Amino acid sequence: MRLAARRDPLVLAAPRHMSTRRVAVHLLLRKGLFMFGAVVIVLMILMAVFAPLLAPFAPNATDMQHSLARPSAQHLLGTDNLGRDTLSRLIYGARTSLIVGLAAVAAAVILGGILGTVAGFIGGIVQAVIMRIVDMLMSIPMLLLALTLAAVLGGGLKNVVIAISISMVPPFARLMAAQTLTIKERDFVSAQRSMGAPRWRTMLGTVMPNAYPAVLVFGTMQIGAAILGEAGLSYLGIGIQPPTAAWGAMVSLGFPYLVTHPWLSIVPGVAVMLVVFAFNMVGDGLRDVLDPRLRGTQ
Amino acid sequence: MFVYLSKRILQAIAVVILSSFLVFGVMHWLPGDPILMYISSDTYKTHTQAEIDQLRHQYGLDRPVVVQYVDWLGHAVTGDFGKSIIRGTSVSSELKQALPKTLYVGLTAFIFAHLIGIPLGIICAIRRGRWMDNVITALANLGMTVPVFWLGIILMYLFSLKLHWLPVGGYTSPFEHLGMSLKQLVLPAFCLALAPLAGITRQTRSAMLDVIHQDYIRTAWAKGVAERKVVMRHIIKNGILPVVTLSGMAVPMVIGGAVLVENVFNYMGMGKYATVGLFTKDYAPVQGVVLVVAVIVVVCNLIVDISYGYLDPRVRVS
Amino acid sequence: MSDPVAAATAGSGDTAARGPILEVRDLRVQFRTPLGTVNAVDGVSYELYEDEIVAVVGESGCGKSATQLAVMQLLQSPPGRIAGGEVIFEGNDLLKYKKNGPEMRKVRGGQIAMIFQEPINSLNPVLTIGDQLVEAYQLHCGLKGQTSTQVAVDLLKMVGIPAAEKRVRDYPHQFSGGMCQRVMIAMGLSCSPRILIADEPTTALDVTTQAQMLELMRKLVRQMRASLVIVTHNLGVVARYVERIYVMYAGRVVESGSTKDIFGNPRHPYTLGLLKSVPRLDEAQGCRLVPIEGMPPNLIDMPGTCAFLPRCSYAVERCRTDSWPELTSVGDGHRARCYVNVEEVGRGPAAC
Repeated sequence: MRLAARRDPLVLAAPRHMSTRRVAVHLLLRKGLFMFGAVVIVLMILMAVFAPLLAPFAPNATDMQHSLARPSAQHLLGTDNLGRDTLSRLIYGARTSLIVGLAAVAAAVILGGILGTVAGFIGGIVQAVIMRIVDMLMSIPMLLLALTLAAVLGGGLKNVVIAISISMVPPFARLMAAQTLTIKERDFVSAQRSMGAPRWRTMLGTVMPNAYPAVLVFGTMQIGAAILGEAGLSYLGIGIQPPTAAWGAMVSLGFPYLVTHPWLSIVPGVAVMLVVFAFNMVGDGLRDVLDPRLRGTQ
Repeated sequence: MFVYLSKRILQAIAVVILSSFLVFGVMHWLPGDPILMYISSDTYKTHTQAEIDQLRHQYGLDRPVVVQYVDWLGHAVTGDFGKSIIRGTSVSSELKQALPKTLYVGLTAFIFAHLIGIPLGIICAIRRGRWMDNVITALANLGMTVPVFWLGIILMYLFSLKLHWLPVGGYTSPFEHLGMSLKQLVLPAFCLALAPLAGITRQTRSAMLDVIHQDYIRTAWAKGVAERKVVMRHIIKNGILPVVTLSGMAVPMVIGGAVLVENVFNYMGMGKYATVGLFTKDYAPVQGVVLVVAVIVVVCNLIVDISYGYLDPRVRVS
Repeated sequence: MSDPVAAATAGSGDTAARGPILEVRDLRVQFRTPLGTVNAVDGVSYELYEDEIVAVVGESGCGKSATQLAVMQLLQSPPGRIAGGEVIFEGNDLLKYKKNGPEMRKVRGGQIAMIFQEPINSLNPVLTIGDQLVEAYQLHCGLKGQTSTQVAVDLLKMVGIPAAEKRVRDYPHQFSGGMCQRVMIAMGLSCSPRILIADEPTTALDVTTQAQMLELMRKLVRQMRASLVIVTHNLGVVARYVERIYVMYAGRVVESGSTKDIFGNPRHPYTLGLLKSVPRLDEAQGCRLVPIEGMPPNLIDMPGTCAFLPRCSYAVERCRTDSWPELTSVGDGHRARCYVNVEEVGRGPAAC
């Protein structure tokens, strides 16, 4: 990897005055897909935050007289079987997906990060035990685990977040453990230790700044997986309690009317795809930009 | 190599035991008493408290959790997963019915994902930046975003309800009626395979690209070796190693997807069995499913690790 | 094709009076990066004669490796590309061949071989040493009745690896860095090429091994009457072994000449700087090493003036106004690209 850095024309060519961060931002702005993803995410967040202003109807307002209405000027996406406006529910559904996605991953990053760093740094029996527990959690499929936890804990947004975040802890724990182990081997850590710096300070000071690119990239990709997980759970009816609007639940509710009103199931799914795609593209872009930096510094 | 193997096997056993412990513990936090749920389904009979206690004792639910766990584990090792409290049936017999269905669809999906994904990934890596790479990568990126249950519904709508080409879900054993069995296999297997396929394509592409930039590939070119040989002998032989490792990750992915697919296409595989158990607060089926799934995943990972150890000379010969 | 372990009569060190076997004319190599186009090799010309050992010297990023990779058409095609020039070998312009076409492939490994800097990484980890060793031989020479194992064992013996019969079945990770480089040398010389290019062959090795490796290369190359090009950033290491030196800076040759001329009478300020920063046994104790001030240039957006100007302590007014000078002759076979052509006494004990 040393050689790759030396031969990398990008490393040689970078103007000396431009900091690594500025180069990275410069590169990102030129990537179409990344920008597309970033824009979509920003729009989605705005949509979720300003949902009460944007949605033409209240998401849970039933109107049996106009149930299963076809798309019209009043109801741009029609209504569902309880007469609720599909578009409004779609907008409010963004809240559910984004909150779960971001919160679950944030919790998993913190929990998994601490677990993994501790495991990597202390090593020995502690590392072995933690890694076995991580292995165990990873051998139960994420959905099954989240499903079980969500059923156990009961419904509601908070419990779904907890369920999904616990099922996502293992990959982050493994990532941080690997990063910590790699960084531990590096000379400057030994140098710090030999200067008498306490272990935890070395840990925080060296591991965190060096590991954050990998965590950032991986975390962004996992947000998409979390949103998909939430959609799956709400499709099955576990977790988000009706009548709260959630995209997965909307797909499920639209299923009986698939032949006559296919859009009721199709549109929420497309919404999920769009958001997940956006996060994945942002993650990809970050990785393309951060990885050469990673390799160059090693 | 022997050390590597025995270490891995011991780890595998530890993981399985931990899984069983986790599941048992989690299930016993379930709010909602299974006995009460059973009773409420039995409405024309009213039960006295004594009868309730008797039922509880009959199912061993009045003992301390640890005792229940050890007892259950002991039985589980011999293949007895207890009884479903709601139906009174043996969980192991129900599992025996459910497992083949999940395996049938899951294995098909798994194999399909690899058979298509790996060659696609290799093509992308070799023709990096050209139109083929861009198209396939774009499709793979898209494939990773599709919600499995939604895809199932869409395909069902298209191929079963509109075009009437394929049946609307269900399961038939291939030994009973091969034609129907295969027709019912197509959609669920495809839905299950899509996300792993996309993932494998991307990972293979990435692994092969990493290899392509290695110094030893440049040495091969410098010797005057033709492209075909460089690809087969040098690139693929090295690039396949990380792909094998990642293959292990596809197993939980497929099983997780099966939970949703079995609900959409409505056949009683392990996934649907577990979902039903969760909804009815029935402990035993869920414990059984999770334990079996954990064993499957662990065994698959073990096979993957052994294969890797054999394929990589750095592990095999040390 | 001759038997790989040719025990020909040892050649002399004189360069032949005949024409060069390899002639590089005005070679240009560019790398496209998101930040602009890097002119890694900006009009490089040199010749290589039969049975001689030549060094190409310069710091990281000066284009010395890129030049050699271009000769072999081994550049990674995005982002690098050959932007111009000719490479004349045995009457043909190699750059006119398709990159992986049959003609180029015949030359690569068969006529011109190349070995690289990190020997352990340059060997395929999943193939045995024996399998990799004979790959080129099978391709260019054909086995002709011998088994591949026999050939591999002979090759290992040629480069002095003990217990060759056993080690043929080993994998690269079981070899040390020095042994891997020997294997690379054996691979390179297996088909008795006319030219062996060694790109920083000793940089990744420790000091004692460095000397062994260079000695081995010299011995074998002399035996086969092949020419050797050593690319290095360490002038001191190769002084003993090479007959002519090309000094490169910022993608161009800034000085060229015989070893005697370069060491005894350097004319370009950069060459002088390089020599001053190399420690010598025969100098007085307490003599300070003088590093070259400044940093290597950014190869995107180069100014038209001399690229060494920011770091040069001999610059005159002309250097600031005129464009980079051409290579001019400053002696018999000795050329430099400088307006000043420093006449400082060549480094010796008195130079402190």
